Amino acid sequence: MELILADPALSSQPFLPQEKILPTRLYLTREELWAGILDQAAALNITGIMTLPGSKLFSLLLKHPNRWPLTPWLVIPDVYQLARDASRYGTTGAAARKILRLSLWNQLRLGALMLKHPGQAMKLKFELMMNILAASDGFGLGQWPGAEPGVILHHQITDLALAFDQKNFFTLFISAISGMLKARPALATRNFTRLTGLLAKSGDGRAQILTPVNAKGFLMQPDRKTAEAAVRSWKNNGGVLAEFWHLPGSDNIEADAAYIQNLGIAGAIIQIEDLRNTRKKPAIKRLGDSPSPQPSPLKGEGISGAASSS
Amino acid sequence: MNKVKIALAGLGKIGLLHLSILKNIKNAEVVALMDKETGAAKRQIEGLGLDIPVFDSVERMIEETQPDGLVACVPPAVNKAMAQACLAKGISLFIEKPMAGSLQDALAMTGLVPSQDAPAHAVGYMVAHYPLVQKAQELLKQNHLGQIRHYRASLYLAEVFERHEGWRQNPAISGGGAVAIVGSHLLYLVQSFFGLPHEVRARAIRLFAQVEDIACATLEHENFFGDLHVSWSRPGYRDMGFNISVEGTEGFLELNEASLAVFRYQDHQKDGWQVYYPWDITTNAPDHLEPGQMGYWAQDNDFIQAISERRPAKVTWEDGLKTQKLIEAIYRSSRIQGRGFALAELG
Repeated sequence: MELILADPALSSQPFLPQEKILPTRLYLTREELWAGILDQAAALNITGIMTLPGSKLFSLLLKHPNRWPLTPWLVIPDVYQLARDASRYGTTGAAARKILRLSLWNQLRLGALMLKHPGQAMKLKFELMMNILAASDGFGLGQWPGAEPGVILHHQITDLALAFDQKNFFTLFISAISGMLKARPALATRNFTRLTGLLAKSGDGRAQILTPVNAKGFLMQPDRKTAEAAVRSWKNNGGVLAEFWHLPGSDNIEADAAYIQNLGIAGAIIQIEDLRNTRKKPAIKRLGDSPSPQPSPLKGEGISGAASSS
Repeated sequence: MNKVKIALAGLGKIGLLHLSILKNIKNAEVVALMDKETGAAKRQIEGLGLDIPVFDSVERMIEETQPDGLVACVPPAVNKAMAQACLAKGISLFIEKPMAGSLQDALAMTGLVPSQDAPAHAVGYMVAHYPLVQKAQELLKQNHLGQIRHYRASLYLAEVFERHEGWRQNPAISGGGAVAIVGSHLLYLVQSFFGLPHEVRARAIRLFAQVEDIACATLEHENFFGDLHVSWSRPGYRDMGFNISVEGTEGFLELNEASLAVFRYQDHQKDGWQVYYPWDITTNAPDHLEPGQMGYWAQDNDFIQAISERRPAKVTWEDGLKTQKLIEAIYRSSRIQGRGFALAELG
């Protein structure tokens, strides 16, 4: 199974309180401390690092691309920055500022994306404009010299587009990330069943989907059983990356790992707190050693057996 | 079942979030939108492929579409005008927090609510809908900690680190800074857990602009007191983080956005902690569309069902008014260099 270590900067409510995330983030302000964590991650068969564009962690990976067998997965856009800018400058102002911060070359690439879809651009279609915003955060990947990186659309943007039934948005995102950024596209969501239902309508099964999958059924809408069936179906498409599979308060990581393995999960997110816990390390390593169904992203746009619930 | 007809005013980031939720509540129908930037709002709505009329005036929107309820996502100083437009027509009104730009406005708004057959009215303190908050409220109501002796409450956000322009920094529109705009969530929790104090001693600190960025306060209740700290200039808090710890004669409680820990002194010899997590006490709702930001779906759904069932919403304007009194008391005390300000003076 593919294991991806999460940058604690991405930790979000309700899984960890902000005041508990802070000490870990402060501990990891120095590169050598991060390097120690990445050494441990590589030793446990972790192969990916989920972080933000422009983060210290991504800079470290860029500086030493061959030191660790780790591939970056960038979560875009930086929704907290976007929200702060929107409070200050309004939504349109925030978008304009984001684009103006880009280099001229990347602005031209965005312009080319708009020219490919002139009708949508003229009408300021959500599907195009939000993709432009998201993709503008992904340009940092252009400097990555290693194996094919991943780009994950932040769950708040995925779920906003989903709430408005923007199925073309997802098709455009997947094409832009794989075509323009040459990266593996993934969609993060808290509404997995409904998202796969919408993707089924568009016939696009290429994306990997990052979503909470846990034995408690927490955030597995509309209910655990239905969500489990949808997860099993999606393994034949892009595959599922499980986050929050081992929840704080659970003392049985082996049982939690067995739960996601039985669902045919392609990958799992590992939290730093668990990586630093000696008792949990063997279970993480075993999970990394375990086989998982090979997703077939970007081989074609067909879809296989997606849940029809929406 | 007749659908609840909803209008929404203000299509900024929060307005868009509410629209995305309201559109997905089964017995709600969004019939109209209003934004002072009508052209941009129309383009945004057309860009989403939605066919909902956009108005430039709330009165005209109400006149033409006759909604059952209105969700107002506008700056606090505009809420009074929203209330005047809605309540005269018997329309339910949800307003984003804080309730108003001033205590005077909040009092005027509650004065508009008829004493009988009042339409549902709500304030957007989404923290009230966190399952852990509800559990803590329940335990405190049951006197699980015995008599309260002291509490400490803090709320932090990493948002303001330089001088900003915009309505949030204009007290005439925002009604204040960190205390009113983000700290009001914590003040709502404090008043709902412990009631209103009789006296407040507070200091507010400005780092960057015309409004406060940090505030500290001591709240004196009848038999106990609380300490409060609020900042929107706190590095490291990408998401809003809060913490409330309560010391009682029989136990201790600590609540934050991710867990609720309770310790009963009588159980000290057998590891007396009981910890609750959201996944222990949350149930999935079949038609719930999770927006990824806690509490928002639950509060919008509560408002719609309150209209439909003709019952009060979970967070009423009375709750909003109490919170507004606390905001005012903190500002009044800070204006007299932290000397005690009695809430009785507020009427």
